[in-house]
Amino acid sequence: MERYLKISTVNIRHNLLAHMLAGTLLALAAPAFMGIENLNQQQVAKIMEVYLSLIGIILFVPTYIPDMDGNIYDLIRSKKESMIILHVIRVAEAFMFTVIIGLAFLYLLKKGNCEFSLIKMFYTFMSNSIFLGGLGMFIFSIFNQLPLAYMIPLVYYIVNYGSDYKHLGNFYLFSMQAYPLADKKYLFISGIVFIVSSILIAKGKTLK
Amino acid sequence: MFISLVKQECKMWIKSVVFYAYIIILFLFYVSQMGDGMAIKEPQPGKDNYGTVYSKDENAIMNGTLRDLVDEYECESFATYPFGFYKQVILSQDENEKMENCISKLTNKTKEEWQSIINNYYSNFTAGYDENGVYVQEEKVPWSLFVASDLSYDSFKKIMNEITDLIGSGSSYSEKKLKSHGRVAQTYEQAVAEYNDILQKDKVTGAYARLFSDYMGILLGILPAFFVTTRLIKEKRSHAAGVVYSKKASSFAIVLSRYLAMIIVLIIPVFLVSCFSLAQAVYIAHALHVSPDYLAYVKYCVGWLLPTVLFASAVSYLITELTESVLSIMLNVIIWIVSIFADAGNNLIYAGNNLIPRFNEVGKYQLFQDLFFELVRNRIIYTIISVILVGILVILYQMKRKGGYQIHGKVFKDFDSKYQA
Repeated sequence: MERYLKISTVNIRHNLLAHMLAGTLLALAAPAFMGIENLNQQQVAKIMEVYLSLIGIILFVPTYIPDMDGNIYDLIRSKKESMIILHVIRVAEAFMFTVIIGLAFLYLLKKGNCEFSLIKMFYTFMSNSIFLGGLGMFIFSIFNQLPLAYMIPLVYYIVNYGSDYKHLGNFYLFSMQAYPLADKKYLFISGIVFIVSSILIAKGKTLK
Repeated sequence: MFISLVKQECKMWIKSVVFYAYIIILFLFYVSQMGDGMAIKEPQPGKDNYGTVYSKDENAIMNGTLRDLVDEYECESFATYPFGFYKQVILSQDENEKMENCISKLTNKTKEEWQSIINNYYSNFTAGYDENGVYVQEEKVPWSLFVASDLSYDSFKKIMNEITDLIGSGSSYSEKKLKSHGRVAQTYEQAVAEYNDILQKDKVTGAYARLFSDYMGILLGILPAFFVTTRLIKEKRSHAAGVVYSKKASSFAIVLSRYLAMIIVLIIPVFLVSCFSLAQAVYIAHALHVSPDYLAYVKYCVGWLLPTVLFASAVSYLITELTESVLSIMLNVIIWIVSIFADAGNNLIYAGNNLIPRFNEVGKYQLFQDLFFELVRNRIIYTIISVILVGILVILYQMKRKGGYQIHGKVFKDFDSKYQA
């Protein structure tokens, strides 16, 4: 248990900290770009789906950054703890921080007299974030290319910006704004599948 | 030597996964946005709806604006979209008094007079859902508050500037957004004139080339950042920086060859994808018995899209060289979000100072002509800034080569941390 704690502390300090800072800044910058008071559910959904869910890419994609270096990867693989445990710890940290930012932001919106269902908006935010972050992790685990890992989820986000529910169906990221009854479970489950698959792929790969 | 450096860089890109991912993304994005053709049809007489146009009648714009302003004043809140996201503005008492003063100046009536007209209108106005669940509005008294007949358009604009200062950025009362209040139904004659402009002035291909540039610009505002960071990571992995620093080639040659190679591999796939759109547009032109402009796409790709690529690449390259990290991706994302969402209330037709100009319409030749000089100025400015950024980059690279730039080489990292991690 002590070793897991050490792993998680070191990961936060040397890998995730800058990304946590970037995610926090993204959330803190929101009032400068948009109103966070007296919004209705549709307007809150837009903020959570279009703006804040980018945090998923910021926090989840860096999971495999320390492993990019072949020497470090071999060093980590030689340790007692399996790669899966290591990656699960990193993903758990990213997940927890995403939850913290999401809940804090929604609390701020509630304080600003916005009218929305907290559970629904939190679920919307987590589904989008996990999907985008999971997609980035999946690409990263296959190609071991950080730019590609950021590029694919961002391009998917851009495609959603220019598309609609009719074309992307249950995988449309911005569904809650236009269709309050849209179900985000497909995005949520796909995100989890991407994350789990990426961890399994990353375990089995060899780096040159 | 310079040409061989450029060739070498291009060869490296041709072997890169990121390059092929980029081509696939470009093509799929084009198909998803323009794949269904968007064929143009000659307007038929006797239809109920020919779309809408911005009225050039200053009176229509002034009265439309006044109506929207008074509606928001009555609701005691003003909608702004500074970055495409709704932001509610509620005025303080002082600001409210200034707003009332502006409305008095617009209508040349005292506050009591125009307030009385408004109260009479709203007390005879009903809105709600009928038994079928349809939202209906009923106006028992017609709207009767109009701008003063002797108010010139210039004076009107001055008052609108005062109002914009009160409400803040992103309101629909700024000068460039005023015409959005004067949207009127397009007549059959106007629709025919617009259709003829597509055939005779745009020669069909020009209209589609504009739409193609509109869509591709969205991607090209951000994708260059990934090429730059790929280059950085490749260099770091191969530990090639030291070797390159010791070579005979000047910093100018090294930096410019890398930059030019990146521009080449970014813009050539755009030309290739544009051939698909060109083929569609040429087919439509021939079907309408019009001789197309075969060079329309080349003109728009070079004049409209290339400056976006130049700027996005230059900014990314400079930030990456400065920080030796992937921070440039984040910075480019911020620039992209601001560019895309900043003018989102403009019906996707704008240039201004935006990195990603928009013109999300087929045709609308006259509207494009109104925007043309603004677009040209925009593209020239971004090209000049890109050249300046590349100049700074060369100086930075030279400093690094001579060993004069040492902040542990990176921001927020020290050499041992990655091993400790």
